[in-house]
Amino acid sequence: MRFPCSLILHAVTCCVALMLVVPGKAAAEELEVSIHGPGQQKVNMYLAPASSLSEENATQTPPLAAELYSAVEGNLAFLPFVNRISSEEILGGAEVGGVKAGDIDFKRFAMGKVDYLLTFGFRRREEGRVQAELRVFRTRSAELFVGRGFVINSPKQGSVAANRFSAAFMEGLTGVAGFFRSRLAFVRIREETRELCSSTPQGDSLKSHVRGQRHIMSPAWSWDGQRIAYVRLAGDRHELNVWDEEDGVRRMTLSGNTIISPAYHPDGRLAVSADPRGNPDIYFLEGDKLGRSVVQNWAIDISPGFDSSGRWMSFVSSRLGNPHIFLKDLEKNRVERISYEGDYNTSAAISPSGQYIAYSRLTDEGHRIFIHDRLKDTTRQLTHGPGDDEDPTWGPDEYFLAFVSNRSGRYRAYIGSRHGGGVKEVETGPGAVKGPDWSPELR
Amino acid sequence: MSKRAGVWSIVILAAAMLVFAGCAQKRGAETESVKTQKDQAAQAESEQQKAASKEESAATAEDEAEEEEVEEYGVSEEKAGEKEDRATTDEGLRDKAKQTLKQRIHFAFDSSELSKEAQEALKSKAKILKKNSGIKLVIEGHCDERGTDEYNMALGERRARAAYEYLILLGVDADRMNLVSYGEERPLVEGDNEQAWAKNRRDEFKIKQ
Repeated sequence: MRFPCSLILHAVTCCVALMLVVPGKAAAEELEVSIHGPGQQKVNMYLAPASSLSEENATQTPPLAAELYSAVEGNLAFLPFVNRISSEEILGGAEVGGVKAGDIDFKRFAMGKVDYLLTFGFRRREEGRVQAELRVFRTRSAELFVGRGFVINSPKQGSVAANRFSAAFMEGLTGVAGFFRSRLAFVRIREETRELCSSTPQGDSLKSHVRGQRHIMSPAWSWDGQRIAYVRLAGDRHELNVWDEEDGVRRMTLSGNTIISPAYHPDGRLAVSADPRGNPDIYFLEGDKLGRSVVQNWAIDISPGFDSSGRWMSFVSSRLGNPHIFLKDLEKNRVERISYEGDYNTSAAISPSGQYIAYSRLTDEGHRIFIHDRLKDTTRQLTHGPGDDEDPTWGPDEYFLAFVSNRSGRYRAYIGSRHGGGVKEVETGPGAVKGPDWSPELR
Repeated sequence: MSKRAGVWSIVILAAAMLVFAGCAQKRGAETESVKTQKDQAAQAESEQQKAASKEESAATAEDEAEEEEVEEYGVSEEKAGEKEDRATTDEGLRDKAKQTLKQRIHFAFDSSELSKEAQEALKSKAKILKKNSGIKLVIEGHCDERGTDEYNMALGERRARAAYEYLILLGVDADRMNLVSYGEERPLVEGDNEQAWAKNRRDEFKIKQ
């Protein structure tokens, strides 16, 4: 895989999987975190302080280990279903005798309503490297739930280790781990400079892929996570650009004047809204040229998005006079209307399974994110501002969404769960953020 | 002799009186003629004023177009001083024509419909473009910040295209125009109020020669 994480994968030396306990039947009864249900339950978790794995007591935690611990703390804070318990809440004290099960009195934690206990051990290695072991135990059964060991020699490797551990923990809890195995692409605007960037959903490992003075917008990941298509305004022309880590940027000038909202179909084809017939319609590309139209009428048709099967395409159309959300069944060539309320519904985003369609509706208070559940045929408001909440994009696990909001005074990226809780800003450094697109799960 | 001289004096006096009377009659006719002409002119002027007041809103643009036509027919044989004066005047007219071509047109929220004012402005542009075949235009469509980025990019295209197609209807060659949408990327003014938004919902016209 060409993705940068894979490069770091090789760089993280001596990565030792201590043990990954797949929850058994009895354990499954204990774990009731369902991110697919109508709501979500929370698990209580206590994070024991870092302790030395060496015989001799280390009074100070090495900086690399401290950063890894901090990164894990930060990752867990992004999970709305994890409720962190403080040491003061545990009767009898929160001290642990060591990092392994035999060192711990689990009863105290179980009585303190702690469901999961995390231990973190470190050992200084040669040449400034640090060995770190992370374990999560179920306090009621005193079982190891997830365990991972790493040897790291840079903060970057520490960040990767934290994400891997967090992914394993989340996968154990919920069955999916896409959040920690994916990236967000977005446009960062700093004064006159526009950058195509990507980072982890938590804002770590920020990379600037393309930088320039020209306006760029609407980044869109390919389903293999290797390319990002986007639109560039070059002088008085629109260009379709595709960034690829190995090949750099490929620029395409299509017929017509306007290119908007590229999106990859799971089969690898690129769809885009263009106006070769004098009207923004949706087309598939054939090579570097516009091929057949997917949606074509007198109105504005933009923002195509596909589910993982490739059968369903959500899009925005003004065919009824105002912009509304529509869904096209590409197999049966049938279009159905999704949004009925409001007169300005845009930024359609279909979830990977195709069950949910998120979009932005202009209300009296500003733009707000709404989610339509196709199975239940219901629509509900997800965000409540302040400011404008726009451009939703689904995480690969379909539990998280990212969007941009100017609630802080300028547009920044935010992440929250599908249920509306735990909205957190993504730290992407200085500058405004526009047009986020969440990658598929990257392996 | 004195009797004959007295007769001649009477004849000359009578003739003089006749001549004077004729002149006086002619002068009176002339005065009446001038008076009639003045009345007619005043009536015409009054009618013109009435007509002008009816089409006041469109007149400015039309006049500018007429002035541009004057610019096209300079006098070839003239003295050096006169030529210099003429050049200065032409320069002024060119500036005015450019201003007319560059004059922005504005739109309502989420609309690409051309208002009456926009149509009149485009008519003025069309006249200039038809008289100046070397001029090419880039029509830029812009939106206010209230919409979302992608939809605004499409709406900007519709706004630019509305002007483009109207100019074609008015006889401007399509090959002389290009259109581009900048969506909400290039606001004319900053501001989170209707006054700023109204200014930003616009087409801009860039001259290419």
